[in-house]
Amino acid sequence: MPAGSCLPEDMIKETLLRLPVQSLLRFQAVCKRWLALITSSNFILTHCKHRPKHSIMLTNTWFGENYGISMLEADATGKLDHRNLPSSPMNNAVNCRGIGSSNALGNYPPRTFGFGFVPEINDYRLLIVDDASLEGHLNLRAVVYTLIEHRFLEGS
Amino acid sequence: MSSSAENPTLTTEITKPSTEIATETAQSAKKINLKTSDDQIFEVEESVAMEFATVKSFFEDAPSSTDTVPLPNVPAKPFSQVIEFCKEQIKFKANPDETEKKKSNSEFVKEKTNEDLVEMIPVANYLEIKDLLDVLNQAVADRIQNRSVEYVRSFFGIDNDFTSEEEALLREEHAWAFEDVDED
Repeated sequence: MPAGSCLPEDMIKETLLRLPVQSLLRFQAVCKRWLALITSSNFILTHCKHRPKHSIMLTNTWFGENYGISMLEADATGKLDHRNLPSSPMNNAVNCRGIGSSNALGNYPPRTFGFGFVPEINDYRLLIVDDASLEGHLNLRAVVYTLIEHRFLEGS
Repeated sequence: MSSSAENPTLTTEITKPSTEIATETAQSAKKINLKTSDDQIFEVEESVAMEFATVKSFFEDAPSSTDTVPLPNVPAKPFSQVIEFCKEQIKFKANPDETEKKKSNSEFVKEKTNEDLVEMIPVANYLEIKDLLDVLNQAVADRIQNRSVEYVRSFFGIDNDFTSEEEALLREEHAWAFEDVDED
């Protein structure tokens, strides 16, 4: 039996904390133990503190019915702030379980969401693009969430 | 003998003929015997052994105790590599140079197989060698970061316990995270 299979969870965790979010999302599929670890609120909080540049995380109920988004923020001082996003017509349509990080992009046709830090205005923005194009007629609708103002900005 | 007294840390041989011990001063390169889980005895210099917080506190708790310290959770193979790391670290204690230290650390992990790294982690953890743990965790993270799920399972010797439906669902949900992965 390979040695790694008996590595205790706290040692696995120390390694996983050093990985970027994209790797973590992929490695949820390694085994049930890793899935539970990576999606645990404790891990997400610690990962936030470890990677201050990736300080926005989206969390969601695993295998739940509710696709609402909540946001977790850790600033450079390690102070944590957890807030639920205000409701939006599109809020419950966005399928973004698990965790995500700044400047990452998810793609769930026909919706695309992306979120990132905008240094010029010192704000985090979450972008949701809804593609309602029909028969070659391009119809994109976008909403942007701003962390500073804590609300959705409707675009068209 | 004056030159060896000036540079006691340079004597790194594991064993010494017993006849020479009498000529050594009490301070120079005191050796400590450490016994691994597979019953191998390592004779290491005290300065190296004191890098292991677990061993250090063993002696602090019982200063005049035994000749041989048992390490029941430590197999010989990863332990010899851990000793190799600590010997290097000691050089930088006397002569701190962060650039050289980083270079030495990356040389150390570069030569190690995936299995070596994974086997050393619990040893470094048990012996409480924080610097080594940091180096190992980072090295493992670097090696798996851009790899596939299958590669990571074999890296750690993990069995896939998802049903194919569950796994397909996870892959579908985060499809973007499965793109641009290095070839196994």
